[in-house]
Amino acid sequence: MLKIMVVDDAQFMRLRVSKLLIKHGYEVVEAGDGAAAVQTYRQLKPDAVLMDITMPIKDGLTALSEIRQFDPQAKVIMLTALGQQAIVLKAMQAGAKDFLVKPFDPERIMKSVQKVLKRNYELGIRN
Amino acid sequence: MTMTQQQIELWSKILNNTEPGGLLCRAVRHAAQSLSEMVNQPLQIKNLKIVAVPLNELVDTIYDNDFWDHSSSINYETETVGIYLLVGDDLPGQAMLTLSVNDALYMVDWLLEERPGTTTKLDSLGCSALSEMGNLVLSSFLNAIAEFTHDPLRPSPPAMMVDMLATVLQTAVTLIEVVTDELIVIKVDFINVENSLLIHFWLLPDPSIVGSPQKLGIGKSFSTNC
Amino acid sequence: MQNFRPAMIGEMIVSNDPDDVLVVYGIGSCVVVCLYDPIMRMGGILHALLPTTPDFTLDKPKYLEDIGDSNIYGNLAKFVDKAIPILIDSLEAQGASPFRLVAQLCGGARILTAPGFKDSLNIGERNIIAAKTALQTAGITIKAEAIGGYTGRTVKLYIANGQVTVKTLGQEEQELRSAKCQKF
Repeated sequence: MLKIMVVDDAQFMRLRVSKLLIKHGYEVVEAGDGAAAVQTYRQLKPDAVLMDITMPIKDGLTALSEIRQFDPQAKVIMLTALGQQAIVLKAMQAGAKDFLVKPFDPERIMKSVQKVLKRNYELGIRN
Repeated sequence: MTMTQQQIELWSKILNNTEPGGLLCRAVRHAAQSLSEMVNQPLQIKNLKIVAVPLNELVDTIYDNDFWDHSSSINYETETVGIYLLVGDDLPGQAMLTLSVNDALYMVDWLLEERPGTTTKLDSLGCSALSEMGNLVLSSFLNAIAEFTHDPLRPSPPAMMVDMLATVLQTAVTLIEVVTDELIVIKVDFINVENSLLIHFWLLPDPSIVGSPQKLGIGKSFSTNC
Repeated sequence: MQNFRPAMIGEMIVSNDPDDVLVVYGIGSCVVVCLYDPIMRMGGILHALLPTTPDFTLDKPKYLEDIGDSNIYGNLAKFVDKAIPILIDSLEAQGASPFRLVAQLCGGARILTAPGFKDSLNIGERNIIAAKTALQTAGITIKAEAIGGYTGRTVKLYIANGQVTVKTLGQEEQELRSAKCQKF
């Protein structure tokens, strides 16, 4: 079963996204801030990550950079309310694979996850 | 230009572009639209105001509302939910959403996709949903402003409290440690008419940065429905 | 008939009218100081926001440059350290004796803690320390207090008898007594 990490400081968002992913047959791990996300990624090496940006302790952009440093193949999708050109650019430069702007749209999330994982599969680098 | 000058200039642009197609209205509409999509319910924008408020009159600003026909039922001690976010380094100030506890429970039902009336108490999941609502509203507002600045504008994570109305509103000025006697308040109401649901969205530019309302050209109060 | 007179942020009220009830609604991290002279049956209430008056003499912020020096602090009643001596002077001017004044102290709650917010420096606790210091300097005893905690309080001072009551959300109004002190 493919494992996806959901990173958001809002328990509400983690629950909604996790429910959706589980419904589609994925295994889910959760992290409540950027620092926990980096640590959990190192331990569990999930197949993909859905990452918020505005979070306490360590924000999502910093966590993205650290995860990509540890694993240059990491598949991280940003899922944030901050839909600003400068922030999208920063995230893409730091290696994000996709950028989704809240509010929560189940269809868009699933399409993005499937796209990122499919690319993984095609390249034969599934962990 | 120094950082402070940039901050003053940006607030000044927001406060002085108040026509329906202007920066402030666009940002407010964007915030309302995101919230409407989040809860999948129609929302109207009412009473967008910019007012210079003496510190001792801040709490009374909430009564200044032509929608709330049962306003006599609210008082300084009415149980109220407040969601707070700092607007960010480039636009220093305090943002806040306030709503009655009954409306907050209604919102939680919508956010959790439950039947209205299901949630009767604010638990940690409900509080998290309301905090996320605050994050979405302010972030969406800032997204529209950032189209103009081209620089990123990032809010703080949200914090939430449930207490008396007076406590909830006074906390906003404590958080930015207001040392002036007067502050500028941008306030707008998001309304779901069908369910008589009312959310107040407040922005308080940090007066220690932006200075007096007169300096920013804020005179008599201005009001529009965007 | 009771006459409820609210003191909003940065306001103080002094009264010797036995019908007056001086009220501060929903105080959070702010501080409320009630002073009462039992012989004169006169009292005052203060609703202060910040612990200390900022020192602008060395480093005057840019935003104040266009304001005359005489007015840079505006209304001093919002700063605990300056407000308490002003309240004592106001009571004295109306015939109260500073030697008879007793204080009751409320507020200073830690109502919001979240990353990035200045309240994590706990302004409520700093307000209480500033109030206690100012009252001690003036030689005024604190008879009772309801300080700290995590909730807002409505505080009432009844001029008729000097009684102070405290009410929190969903609770009944209760008389403030020394034994019921709520500490940090």
